[in-house]
Amino acid sequence: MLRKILAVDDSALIHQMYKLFLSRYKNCKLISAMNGLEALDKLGQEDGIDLILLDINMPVMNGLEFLQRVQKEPAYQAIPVIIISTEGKEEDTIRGLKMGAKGYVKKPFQASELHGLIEKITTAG
Amino acid sequence: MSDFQISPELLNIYLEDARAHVEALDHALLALEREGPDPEVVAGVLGPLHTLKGNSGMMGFAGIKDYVHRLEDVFERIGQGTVTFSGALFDRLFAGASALRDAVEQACRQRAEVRNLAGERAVLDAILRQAPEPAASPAAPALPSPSAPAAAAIRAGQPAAPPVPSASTTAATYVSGGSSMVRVDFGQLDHLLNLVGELIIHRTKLHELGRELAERRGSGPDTLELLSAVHQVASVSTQLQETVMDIRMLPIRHVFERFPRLVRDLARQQGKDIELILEGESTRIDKAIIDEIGEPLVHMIRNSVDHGIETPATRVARGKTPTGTILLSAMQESNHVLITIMDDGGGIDAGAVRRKAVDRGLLKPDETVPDRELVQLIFSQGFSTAESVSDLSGRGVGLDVVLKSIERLNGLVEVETVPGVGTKFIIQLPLTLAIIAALLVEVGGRTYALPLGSIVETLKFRASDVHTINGRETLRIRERIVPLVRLDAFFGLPAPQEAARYAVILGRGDKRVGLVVNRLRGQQEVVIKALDPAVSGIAFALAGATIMGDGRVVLILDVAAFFEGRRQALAHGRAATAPAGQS
Amino acid sequence: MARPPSSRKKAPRKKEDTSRIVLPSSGLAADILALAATDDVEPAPVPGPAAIERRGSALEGEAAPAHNISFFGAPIREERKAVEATEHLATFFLSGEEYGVDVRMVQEIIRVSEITPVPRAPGFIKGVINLRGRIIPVIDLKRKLGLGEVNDAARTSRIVVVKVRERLVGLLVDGASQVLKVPVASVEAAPEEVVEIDANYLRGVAKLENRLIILMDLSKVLALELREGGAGAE
Repeated sequence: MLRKILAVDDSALIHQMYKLFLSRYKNCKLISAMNGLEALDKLGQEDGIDLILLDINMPVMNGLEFLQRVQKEPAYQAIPVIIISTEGKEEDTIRGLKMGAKGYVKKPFQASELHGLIEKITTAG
Repeated sequence: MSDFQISPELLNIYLEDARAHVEALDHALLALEREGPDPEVVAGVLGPLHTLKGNSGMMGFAGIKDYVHRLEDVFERIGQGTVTFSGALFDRLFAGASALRDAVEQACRQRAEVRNLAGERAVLDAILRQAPEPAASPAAPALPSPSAPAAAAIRAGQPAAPPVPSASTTAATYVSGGSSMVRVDFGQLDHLLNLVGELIIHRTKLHELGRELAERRGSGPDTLELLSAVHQVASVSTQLQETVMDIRMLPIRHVFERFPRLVRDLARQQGKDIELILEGESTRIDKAIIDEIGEPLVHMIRNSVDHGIETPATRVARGKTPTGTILLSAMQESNHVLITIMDDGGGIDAGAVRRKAVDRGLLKPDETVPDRELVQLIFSQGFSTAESVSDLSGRGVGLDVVLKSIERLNGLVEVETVPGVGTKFIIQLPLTLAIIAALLVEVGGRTYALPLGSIVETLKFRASDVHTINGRETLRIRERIVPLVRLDAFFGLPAPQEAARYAVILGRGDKRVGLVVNRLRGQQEVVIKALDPAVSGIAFALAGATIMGDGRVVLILDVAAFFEGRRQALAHGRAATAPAGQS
Repeated sequence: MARPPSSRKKAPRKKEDTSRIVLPSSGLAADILALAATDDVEPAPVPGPAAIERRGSALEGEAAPAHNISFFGAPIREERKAVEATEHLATFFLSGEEYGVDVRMVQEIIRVSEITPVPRAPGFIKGVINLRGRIIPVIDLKRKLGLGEVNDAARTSRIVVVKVRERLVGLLVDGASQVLKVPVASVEAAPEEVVEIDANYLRGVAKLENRLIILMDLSKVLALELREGGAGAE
C-alpha cells in the first residue's frame, strides 16, 4: 500500500511532473521538498511516508547527505529510496545505491518507467 | 517532431525557471568578465545550469539539454582555471547565452525544439578543446572552494569519505528557490484579490445594515454586538486586503536585472563605453506593472545608448570622460513610484526637434514654444531625430509607443535635457493597478468610475459659463481656460433630460480637461477588473471595470483618452472640435 | 575533477566502460551493484577532448527521443478514440434554427442578467456582465452572424458562457435547448440551401430523426475576438 510519497528536488517543474505522473497512481499523497533539509523536516512532520524520490544535486543539503542522515535514523532507514539520476552524474547515483537506495531512474523519464520501478521496489518489500 | 502534448501549465513553469536560469548565466558571465575568475561565481552558476539541463530533458528538449551540459563543462573548466580569459571568449559565451535564451523561448512558443544549437555547441567544443585538461593533482586545489555543493567534492576523488555538508554560503545563491518561499500562480493571486475585493464590498453593506438596524431598534445589546462583530470583520478584511496587495508587490530588481547585459551588448556594438548604474532595485511595485514596464524601459535605455551617449572620442573632445554613464533608479514617493533614466550624453537638441516638428506639421513655423515643452514632442507619433534609423532602436518603435505603454499603466513620463550635458527621463507609475479610489459619475443614465488620482476638482457650472473657442467648448476656471468634453456625446449616449451641470476637471501634469457629467455619485474604492482583450481592444477610453456591491458592472474610464485629443490639438495647431476619433 | 592517475589503470570490467559509466535508464540497486561488485566504483575520469567526441557521438547515436513524456501521449489517443464515436453537443436556438457546439467549450448557460453596455463598441458586442466576480463580454450571436438581433428582454433568451483558449465569452442566444450526444455517423456537410451563415463557421449538420442541428465552429466564429487585443486594437 502506497500511501505517501516524498519527492525531493529543487526544480518546481519536476514537482509538477510528479504531480501529473503520480497523483492518480494508487491513490497516494504526494509530499514535496525542495532540498534535503526540507525533506528531513517533512519526514519528521508527516506520518507514514512509504517511498522517497530523491534528486542528488540540490542546494542547502544535497541528496547524498540527506540519504546518509536518513540511513542513520532507525525510524526512516526502512523507507525505500529511488534516486533520480542525471546524465553525467552516474557515480553519484551508484554511491547512493551503495548507501542503501533501492533503485534509480534517469532523467528524463517516462511515467510508465517510474511506475514500473516503484512497482518492483514496493512489492519486493 | 514530438507527438506528445505539453500542458501550458508545465510550459509556464519551465519557461519561468529557464528564464531565471539563463539570467543567472548572464550574471555569472558579467561577473567573470568584470572581475576575473572566481570559484564562487562558477559554483553559483553550476546549480541553475544543472537544473535547467534536467528540466529541459524532462520537457523533451534534447538539444537544449545537451547544450546546457556543454555549458556546465565549460564552467567547470573555468572553475579549474584552465580556460584563458579574453574579450573574444566572452563575446562567444554571451552569444551562446543569447542563443540559449532564444532556443528556450522559441521551444516554449512552438512547444517543440525549433532552434538548432549545433553551431553554438561547436563553439563550446572548441573552447573546451583549447582548455587543457587540468594537471593530475589531488582534488583540493583544483576544486571550487569548499562552499561548492557536496556532490562535486564527492566526485573529486574521495570515494570513501562521507559527503561533506555543503556550507551555507551556497544557499545564498539559491535563497529564492529555497524552502521559505512558496511558488504561487499569479492568476491565483489575482483571484484572491478579487475575493478580497468582494469581501470588502459586502462588509460595507453589512456595516450599512448594521447602522440602519441600530437606528431602527435603538442601541440595545443585540445591536451593539452586531456592530462590534461587523467592526471586527471590517478590520480583518482591511488587513487581508493590505496583505494581498503587499504580496503582489515585487522589487523592481526583477525588471532591472537584465539591463546590465543589454547595455553591455549595445555599447560594444556601437563602439561606446558605457557604465550602467542601478539604484533603488529593492523598490517594490505591483507585479502587473512589472510585467508591463520592462519593454518601455528597454526602449528608453536603447535610446540613451543610441542617441544619448557619445562615442569615447567625441566625449573626450567635449572634455568628458570616455566612459559614459547611465543611471537607472527607482524610488517610491507617497503613492507612486518614480523611475529615472539619466545619461551624461549629448542631450537633446531643441533646434533639431523644432525643425523636425515643423517638418512633420506638428508645429507651425512661426509658433513659439518654450524649449522645455518642445522636447516633450519627441513622444509624438513617428518622431525620431536620428539621422539614420539605427536598427538597434528598432524601426518604428519610437518614444510614442513608450508613452502609450506607460499611459496604459496610468503612468506619466517626462523628459528634461541640457544640451551637451545629458538627458533625464522621469517615469511616474502608480504603486498598484489593482485597487484605486474612484469617483462615480452618472452620464446618460449610466454610472461610470473615474480614477480619483487624476481628478483635480469637481464643480457645478451654468450654461452661461461655457465659452466656445475655435469650435471647442471651454470653461474658465480661475485663470485657466479648460476645454470640455461632453461625455454623453463622446460615448454616443442619449442626451440627458436635464442639462448636464457638473464638470469633473482632470489633470495630467500641467494639462487640464473637464468632463461634463449629469451627476456626481460619490467616492469609493474599487477593485479594477480587467476587461477581456476582445472588449478593451475595441472599446475606447476604458481602463477596466469594477463590480458594485449590488453586482452591477461599472466601467472605469481611461483618463488618458481625454487628453489625447488635447495633444492632437496642440500638434495640429488648431483646436479639435471633438476628441480625435481613434477607431 | 582531477583524478589520481593510478585510478585509470583498472582493466575494463565486463559490460562496463571505464571511460564512462553507462547506466541503463532505470534499475534496481541489487542488479547494478552486482555488476560493480568487486571493487569500489571508479568515478568517471574527467572528460578529455577524446571523451567529449565520444560522448557527442553517443548522444547522436541515441534513439531519437525515446524520452517522450508518454503519459501525455496516451490519454489523448484514448480520448480521440472515444470522441470518434459520438459528438457531445450543447445546443441553442437562433431565429428558430437549432445550433450545436462542442459541449466541452460550454461552461454554463445562464439567464440574461443586467448587461452593461460598452460605449462605442461594435454592434455585436452587447456589453459586459458580472459572472461571479469575473467580467466577461457578451456577444449577440445573431448580430455577429448577420442573422438579426437577439431580444435580450425575451424570457427565453439565454447567455451561453463558453471558454475558448482560456478566455470566457458570453453568447447571447434566443433560447437554450439541451445537451446531447449525436453519433458521428449522422453528421454531414452543411447543404447550401439550409444555411444562411458563412460556411466557414460551420462544421456540418447533424441529421436526427425529426430535427437538424447545425454544428458551429466557435473558434472560427470568435476568431477575431480571440486574437490578442481583439480586432481594431489601436
